Amino acid sequence: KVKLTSSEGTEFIIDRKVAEKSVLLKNMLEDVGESDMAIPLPNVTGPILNKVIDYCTHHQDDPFVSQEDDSKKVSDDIDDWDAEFCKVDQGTLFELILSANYLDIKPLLDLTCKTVANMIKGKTPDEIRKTFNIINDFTPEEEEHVRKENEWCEER
Amino acid sequence: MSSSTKRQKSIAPSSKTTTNLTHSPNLLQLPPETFLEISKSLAPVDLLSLSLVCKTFYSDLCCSESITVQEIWRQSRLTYMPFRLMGPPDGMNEREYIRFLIEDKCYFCGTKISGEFFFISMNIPRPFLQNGSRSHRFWRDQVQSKYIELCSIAIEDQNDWMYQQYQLRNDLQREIAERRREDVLSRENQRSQRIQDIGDKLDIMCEERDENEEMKYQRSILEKCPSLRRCYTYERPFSERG
Repeated sequence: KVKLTSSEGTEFIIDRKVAEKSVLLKNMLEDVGESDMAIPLPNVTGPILNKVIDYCTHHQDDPFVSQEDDSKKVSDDIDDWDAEFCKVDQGTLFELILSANYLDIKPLLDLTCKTVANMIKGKTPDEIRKTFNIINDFTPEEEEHVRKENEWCEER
Repeated sequence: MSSSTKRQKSIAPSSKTTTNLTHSPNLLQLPPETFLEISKSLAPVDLLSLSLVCKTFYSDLCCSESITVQEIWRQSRLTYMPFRLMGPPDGMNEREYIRFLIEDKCYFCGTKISGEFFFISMNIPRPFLQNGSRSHRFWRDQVQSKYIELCSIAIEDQNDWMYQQYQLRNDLQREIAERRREDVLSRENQRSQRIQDIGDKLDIMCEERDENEEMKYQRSILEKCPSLRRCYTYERPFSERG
């Protein structure tokens, strides 16, 4: 069993096997060995950590995928459980990306990044701005330049 | 699973009060490495749209010096434009190249180019081309730079220069023809591989039996299925859905 503390100090007790889905924790546990000390995770909030643990628990028996093996980059192959898992608000989704990146959980990072990619697919720049609440910060001159570059996609 | 999602929902709203984040992170605040991770699963068209959203994305995705950025465009081209294996000509970056491939009209006269494969790297400015030249596809930057070059040389040397350019063009045309052959070849290979894969899948399906030990599918019916026919010609990776 491994003890983790989220940023607000909430304690989580999980199986070592689950914790080892995170390369960061795996390396830490190997360095420290058996210990009752809780591992503090100041970058991860409780609710997010809770979700991350859900993910790792569901996928605990998946084979470890190496960093190099990214031949399957096509983003439509997300299974039902994962798709359901990603049905969260944007803030949560981005926090999950940040946590997966920090904890170094490659499959979770892939999944969340693919989900965001799917939100971008097939949209015009303007639709992307609306979806993600991004302000168009091009100056009028740049805007003109951009508009020219944009012509091809407006015809579509 | 349903119990865990319920638990999530009850916790999620409270996160805003317990954390001292005033704003939850958005797409713009992601660190570059995760932003690039997202870009990796986008098609060239989507990358182009994304790069035109705001300054940050523009500078992230249009940096022609960055090897990582070039690699993202290249990978995207190879994944989503599977029969455009030929790389961009010297001096053109991947992003420009993709725009070049997607935009199927001449930079100068706006003529739509249809059917014919892409024909790039025409080294001669249009005014100097013979009339009735078949290709309308030029790379604007190159034409401009060539024009400047021409203006900078003495009039008596211009004929020699033109001749040189014709030679260069012929070389390039040969190279393009060669690369195009390679593309066609790899396309055929991928196609036969695909037919093979579908055939294997059909064999497996024909073996399947339902609970009454009856054959689930009949080969003759399967082969008449319209979605199967589309599968054979469709240029995307073959999926289970088909």
